[in-house]
Amino acid sequence: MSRLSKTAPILNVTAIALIGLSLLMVFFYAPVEQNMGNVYRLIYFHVGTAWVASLTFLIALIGGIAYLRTGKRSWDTLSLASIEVGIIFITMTTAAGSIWGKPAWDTWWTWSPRLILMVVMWLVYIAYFILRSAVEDEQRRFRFAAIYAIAAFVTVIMCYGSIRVLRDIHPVVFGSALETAEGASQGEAQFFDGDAERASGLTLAMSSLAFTVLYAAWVVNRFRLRDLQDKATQLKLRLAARMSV
Amino acid sequence: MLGPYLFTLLQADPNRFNGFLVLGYVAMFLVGIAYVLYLANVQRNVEQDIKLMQRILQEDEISAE
Amino acid sequence: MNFVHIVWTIVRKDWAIERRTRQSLAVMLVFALSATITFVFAQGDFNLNAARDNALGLLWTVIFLSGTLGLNRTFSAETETQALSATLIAPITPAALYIGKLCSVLIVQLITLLVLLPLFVVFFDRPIYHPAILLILLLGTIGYAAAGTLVASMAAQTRSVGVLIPVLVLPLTLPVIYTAATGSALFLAPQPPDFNNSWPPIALVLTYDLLMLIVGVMTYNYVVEE
Repeated sequence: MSRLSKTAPILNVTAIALIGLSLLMVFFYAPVEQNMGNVYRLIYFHVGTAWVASLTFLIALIGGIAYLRTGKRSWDTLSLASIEVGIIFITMTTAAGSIWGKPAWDTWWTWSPRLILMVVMWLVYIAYFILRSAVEDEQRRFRFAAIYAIAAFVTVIMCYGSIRVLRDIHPVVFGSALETAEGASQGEAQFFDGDAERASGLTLAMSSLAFTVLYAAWVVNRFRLRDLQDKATQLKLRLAARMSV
Repeated sequence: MLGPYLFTLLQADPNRFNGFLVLGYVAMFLVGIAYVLYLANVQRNVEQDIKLMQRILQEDEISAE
Repeated sequence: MNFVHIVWTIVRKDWAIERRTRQSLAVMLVFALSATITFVFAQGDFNLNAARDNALGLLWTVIFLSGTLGLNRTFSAETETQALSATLIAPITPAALYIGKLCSVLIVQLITLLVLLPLFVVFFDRPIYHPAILLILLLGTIGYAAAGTLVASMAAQTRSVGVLIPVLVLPLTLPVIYTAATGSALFLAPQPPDFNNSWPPIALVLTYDLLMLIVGVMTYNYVVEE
């Protein structure tokens, strides 16, 4: 447990530092874009959180499989923490995307496959917590949560699969502004080339790194919290034992 | 002669949507900070519970002697 | 007992129960028809043209929602009679149990579909009997049943099974329903898609089906263990 107490502050500080560094890069290093102006800079955090959210769900999947095979509770805690962070990141992604969408394409929202499936993903992982709270027996709760974390990842796969597939065949029926919104929300919005592209890519990479470290920091803090909760439960049991004497 | 002037008119001000830019980042931060506050709150409650119970157990042990 | 025998026995048992009580099928059909009527007048005062345009979407919506009711009935019955635990005492491979229950659920859903399809053709006069659409309907239902059986089996072992089944099934099956619905809608367009554009949505639904089936088969022993 002392190993957690040592790594936690290091990770926290590193995460904050990297996020600060990313912000500096986003606002001062990333190139200026002509068409929509500086508001495009939201993309760096928008994509960063989206990508790391998928990472969290993948790790939750791994944690689920590992828990079922080993029965070790730490895997379940990893899944729990990962999904929690993943939901937070998806919320951030959606908020940033929506706020960016309004000035860029004059719409807060569009019903494109990617957006629909992102909201569905969010719902699926919220349901994970509802499932957990409905199972009383602890061992069974961990088992069912693990199974659900595995099944839920299929939605993530479908999300990314659909984007590739449906973009190619979806009939173009909207007006031009929404069309571009669909296109950008569905994929690789290419804004720059050459030097500017490199700077943009670096900023994106830094942002993704920062969010990955933030995710790690939050997971470690979750483990510490679980240890504290265990300690509290132990004390409660001792207290109850004493009171009943 | 009108050419260059029209060209500068067509180049829209890149800063015109900065309000949205700030709003977007602020929104993301608020979500993150809300989560951190939530975690800190849960942690604080658990630590308080632990302290309380440790105190009670201590008093109980003392009074048992 | 070999695999197929087990599956067949479970399906026969469930069908016997269903025939006697008619619970799942009845509730699904009543719901489906009532919902259809609601959706028709919800689209602008019984505007038949609006509903006609959305006929296939309506069908998918109705399948999606009535499926949870069917699952609810199937798996609530399990808890009431403790049938699931009784089945577990026998040395059956959990995978066979999963496939068996999946087939039972699937049969009820397909019967509902078979009743709804001609009704929809009559009500809305759209050619939803196009073979590609039928294929996607079948595949979509399989995926829905695969995911639904897995999570409903878990929900059946909790106290709030009736609440939990919709909460777990609806979001989890939305991706396949969405993909299948948009894919099948392509075949009602004025210019039906050529082969290159036809197979991707079918492949996507098939992917979901396979993935869910694999997850179900591989984790079901953890669902049923005590």
